[in-house]
Amino acid sequence: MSDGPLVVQSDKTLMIEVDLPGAAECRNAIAAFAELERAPEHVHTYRITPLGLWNARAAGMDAKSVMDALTTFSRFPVPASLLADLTETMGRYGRLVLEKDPSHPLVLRSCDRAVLEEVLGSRLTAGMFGPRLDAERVVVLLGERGRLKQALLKLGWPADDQAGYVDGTRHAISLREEGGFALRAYQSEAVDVFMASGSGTVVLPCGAGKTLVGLAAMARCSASTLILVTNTVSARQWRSEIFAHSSVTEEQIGEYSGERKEIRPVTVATYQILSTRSKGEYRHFGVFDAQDWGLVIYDEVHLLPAPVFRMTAEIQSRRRLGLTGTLVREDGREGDVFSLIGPKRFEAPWKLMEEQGWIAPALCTEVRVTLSDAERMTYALTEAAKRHSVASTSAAKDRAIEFLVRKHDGEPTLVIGMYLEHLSRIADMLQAPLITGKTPVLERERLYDAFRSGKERVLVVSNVANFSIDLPDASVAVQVSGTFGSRQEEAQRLGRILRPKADRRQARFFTVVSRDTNEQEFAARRQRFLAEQGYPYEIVDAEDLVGV
Amino acid sequence: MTADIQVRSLGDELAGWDASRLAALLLRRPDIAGPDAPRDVGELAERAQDLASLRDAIAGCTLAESRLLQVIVCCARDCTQDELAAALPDGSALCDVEKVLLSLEQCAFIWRYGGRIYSSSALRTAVPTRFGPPVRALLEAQTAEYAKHVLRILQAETHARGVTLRASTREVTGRPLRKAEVIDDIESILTTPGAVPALLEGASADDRELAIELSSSTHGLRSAHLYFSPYSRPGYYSQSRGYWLFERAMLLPGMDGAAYEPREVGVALCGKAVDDLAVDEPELAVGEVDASSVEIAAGSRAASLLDSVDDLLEAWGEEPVAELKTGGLGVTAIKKAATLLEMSVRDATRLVEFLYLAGLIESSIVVRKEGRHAVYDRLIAPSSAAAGWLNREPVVRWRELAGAWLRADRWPSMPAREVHGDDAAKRIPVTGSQFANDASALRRDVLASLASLDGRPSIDGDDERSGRGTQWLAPSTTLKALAEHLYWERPQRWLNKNGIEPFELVEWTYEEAEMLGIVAQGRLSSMGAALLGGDNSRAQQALAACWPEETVKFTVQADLTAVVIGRLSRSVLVELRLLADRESQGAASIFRFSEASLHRAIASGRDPDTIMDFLKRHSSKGVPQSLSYLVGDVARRHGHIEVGSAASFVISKDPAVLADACVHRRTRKLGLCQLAPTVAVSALGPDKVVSVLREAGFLPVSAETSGTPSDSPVPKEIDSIRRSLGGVVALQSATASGASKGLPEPFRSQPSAQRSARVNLRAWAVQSGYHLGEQPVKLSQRSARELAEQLLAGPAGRRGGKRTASGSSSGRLPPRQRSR
Repeated sequence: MSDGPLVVQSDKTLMIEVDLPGAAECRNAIAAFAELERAPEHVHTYRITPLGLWNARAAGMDAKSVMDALTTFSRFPVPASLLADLTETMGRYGRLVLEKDPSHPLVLRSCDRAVLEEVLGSRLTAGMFGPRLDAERVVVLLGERGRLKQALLKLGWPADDQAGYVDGTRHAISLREEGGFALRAYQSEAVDVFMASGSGTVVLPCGAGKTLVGLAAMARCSASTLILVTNTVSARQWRSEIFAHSSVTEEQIGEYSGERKEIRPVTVATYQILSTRSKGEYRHFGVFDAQDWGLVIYDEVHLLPAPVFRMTAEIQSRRRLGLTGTLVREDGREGDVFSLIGPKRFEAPWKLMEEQGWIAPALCTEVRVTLSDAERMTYALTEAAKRHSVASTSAAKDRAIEFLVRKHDGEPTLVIGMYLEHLSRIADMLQAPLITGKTPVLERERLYDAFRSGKERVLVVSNVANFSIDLPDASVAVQVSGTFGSRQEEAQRLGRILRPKADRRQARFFTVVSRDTNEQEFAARRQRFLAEQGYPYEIVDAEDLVGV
Repeated sequence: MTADIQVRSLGDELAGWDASRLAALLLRRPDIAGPDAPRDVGELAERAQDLASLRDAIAGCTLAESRLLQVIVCCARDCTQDELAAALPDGSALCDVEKVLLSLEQCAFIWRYGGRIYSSSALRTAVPTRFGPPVRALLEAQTAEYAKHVLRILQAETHARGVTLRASTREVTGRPLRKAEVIDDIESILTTPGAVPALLEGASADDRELAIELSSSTHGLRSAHLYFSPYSRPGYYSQSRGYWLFERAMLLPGMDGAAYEPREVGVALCGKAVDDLAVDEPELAVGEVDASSVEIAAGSRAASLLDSVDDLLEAWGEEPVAELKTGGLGVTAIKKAATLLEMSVRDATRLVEFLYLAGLIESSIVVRKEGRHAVYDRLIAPSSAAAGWLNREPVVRWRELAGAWLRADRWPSMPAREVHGDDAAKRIPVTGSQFANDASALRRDVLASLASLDGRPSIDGDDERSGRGTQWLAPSTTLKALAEHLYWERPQRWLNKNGIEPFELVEWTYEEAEMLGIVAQGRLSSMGAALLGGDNSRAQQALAACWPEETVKFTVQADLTAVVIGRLSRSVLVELRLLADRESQGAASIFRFSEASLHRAIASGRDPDTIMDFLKRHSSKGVPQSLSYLVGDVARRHGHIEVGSAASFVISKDPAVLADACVHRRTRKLGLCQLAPTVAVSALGPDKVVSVLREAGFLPVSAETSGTPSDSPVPKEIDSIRRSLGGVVALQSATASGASKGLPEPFRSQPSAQRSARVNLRAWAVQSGYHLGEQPVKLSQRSARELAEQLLAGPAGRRGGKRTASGSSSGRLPPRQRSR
């Protein structure tokens, strides 16, 4: 038994005692092949998954280096079965290779005939192949590259895609490193790793500058770029960032949204417009072919809607960069992100970023309010499906919300919720502007600008502000209701206040929850991602708020 | 058919052996040296050709020896080396099998002389092949007349078809042939290349088809009626199926009534006796393992096993489990045990079997009464030996458990074997009846092979694709290789195990041994090796040396998990398992606190202070606020609803009356407990309560649990009153009749109260003995809000020969009733 900080379990979980010497080296060694599952204050848990091992293999690691990392840092003997299993799993990657052929655009090659036969005979790959060239190679039909990769992943034989990428229309883009702006080391590293492979996902905490990673990737590709974002406000924020930090001019940027349909060398399109169906067709998918894109950026890739996935399967020859703060898909489609956008290429734990000062330190507090007797009776008599709404919009919360906002008077504060009537009531109570999906985009932008400039200190916002909204000064968030147990929503909302503050003050995140209701259970589930990222929630009673 | 061939007997052969060769023979076949030493080599040769001795010796042959023997016995007797070379599978040459031939010679199975390979008739019978029995064995059961008849036919037909027969090794004497000589000649004809196909050319299509069908089967033809009699009428028996083949010794009756195609015919039709000689010993790929890690892992396994055993004995001691009528434990009981022990059903099955083997659990019969009958329940519970076992040192307990397993003549994994379809009915229940007389020996073989791995070089190479790492090898890969190796070494030993493949038996042994800590990381542990060698004391010492260190500390985190690195001391572990649910276990364990787990702890008698005290004492890094809050919150909500037991309840609208009833001297024996001003409960049944209250001067009515006065059987004294009513007194409650007209005001204005009033007036009247025609009475009813109410009822009139009544909850009757 050594003194290593790592414990390797036969169920493929790895635990690092972060307080022990060597923990940081150990974390660096295993991060390449193991997925961080939770990172609370003392023991971080990673999991070795086939996807993680294939990611590592794709990045050039072999089984021996994985084993060495485990055995070097492990305190107890590493289970032999686990070592053998990971060797076998890693050996599965690369037995099938997608590559170009002088006479065919795309072929699937395998040096293992049995594997090739298994894949060719599978129902999942039916209709994706052309003629067989020889015992080791088969032609892949045009347009099936993405779907084939998805199918191969499901079959447990992930393909090594060496078919390369098209360069796209050349369009010189350079970063303007002025006014103190420069890429941070981790951002540069993320771009390097991405460019080395040509497709993949970069996971950085909210507020850690994912947009800049995208910008740097654009500069490195220097080709026409399609950027897919969640909504129009986000699209405009991307526009501003591109103007601010790159050589791209206003004429070169187009917006493809519900309001405008511009296709320019750099085009920012929204998921909303792409997912819009008219007469059963996705009429805006043409944007993918409107230019010879050299790079496609997917912002908030964890929210990528299913139709865009389908379209992405058909543009596998273009470089693709996924950006997200939380690679947690509530629909469990992480595998599709792996095969269609690309493997996770770079990830930085939230607390590590916080330690290094790239994101603001945050303190999370759950405030529990007690419903009045009348509300309790109403809640008890309400049918199950509506109870969450009753609990979330309880009048008992109002006093606590008001107290919290007044307590942080002067600090830029966001009050975030999902039930519009309740938000409207709160906005009236606080005499603060309300932004919902119905608020016109111009009005939203005006209010956000007012908030950024300090004219408005409190904004009451609905789900529209969950993500992609850059409000650098916001330092207090009061969450009054949320979408049931969504972990990524909780993390994204915290992300709104994580931009480092000039005065280095701590961000405060409050979530107001009705006691003894199902909201309390949902809150526990929502907090799990952040708790696992090392954000402990303090729980206080609304009655004790005076001490907060 | 004669030739100048030198025949040599085994005796002559052995006479030429030197002492060291003879010693090696006796070492390989010790049975022929006893019980008394053979007087000369002749007797030794005789013993070496004894059928029983040969069978024993063949059981100890390697796969290569066994397969080559099959080839030899399928060749002609005393075949030449060329004939043997031709009979080898494609791609094999004599030089490839020379080493195996030498080994067979050393065992005195065969001997070579003058370019020929000799073997005894007994060997040809003893060696099992994929064909039928040898023709000699089948013909010996037939008459000499039949043999001669067959020989005549064979000679005539082969001659007619131009087949050149093999040269005979027998001298020509001119005397009539003896039966044995006839059999020799028949055997010689059937082993002559091309003879059998030539003979079959004269057969009918049916016979030819039958011959081909039987050629690749060891099963005979059932219900064959093949008889030969020189005195029977021609054609009498010849109508039987296969008779044509029978007349040519190509289908002969066996001792079991079925007819078999002789081996020689099968070989002639199928070609080769075996497809592969398996000459080379399979490579036993060995992964590199750190010896110290084997010991640590084994010690950890052993400690974990003892914990599980303790848990199970404790649980079954408190609540024994029911045994199946057919014996053993059912799936439900094992699944429950698996949940309790937080292990797979497969492992739980093995664990229970270990306890059974060590005599720590036993079946007993418990008698209980069900009505007038005695019911006999068969239960499985800790045995009387278990108490003593639990008090011993852990190393001793482990040694006894592991020793019992090593000696056991059953497979603990057998009940966990997956069986499907028709075989499902053959599932053996846990601790049920099964017996495998060689289980212990096979188990020891596997462990001995594992012990021998240490001496072997580990595999190397970078062939990741084959699943072999540079230095690591999965136990499953080793096991497969091990099973192949063990099978190659002694194939006969692993056959006929009720359809269980050798690999499965090796895997069972390994997994069972791994659970016990006898093996770990694919190797035999020191304690396992000592146990295998019978050195119990050294086994215990070895376990003591690798017994995992215990800790009493764990780390509690804000995400409501507790992480235990290493082995937690049992008392702390038991408490922690009560407070939290285990999510992961191994070298480290993760426990998660939740509302449910804390509820469980509080329900078990822990209070928040005790819980927090425990956590603070054992948490190495403090207790996060979120957990303290959760403990307090759960404690606050705990017990919002309380459930108790009571046999009857007493309700009264008048709190004063109820209070009086509760404290009355004559009702003390009821033990009335007042839950609310108008509700009390008693542990005695309703009949008794009514009776005692009545004796005390109260006027109770009996009510069902719904609050409705019951329609229970009428006591005798009440029955007499009923008769005194002089007719049917049918009463309807005003609410039940649905007619609100004429009702008192309170009822008219409260339709819901009317609807919910479910009063069985008749029963009440009869039970309470009141006559509605004479005086108003108090009635109990349950209101719309499910509250007990009383109302005053009086007769309302007559309708259809029945009296009707109406009532009021105001305590005053309507004027008309009062006037009456």
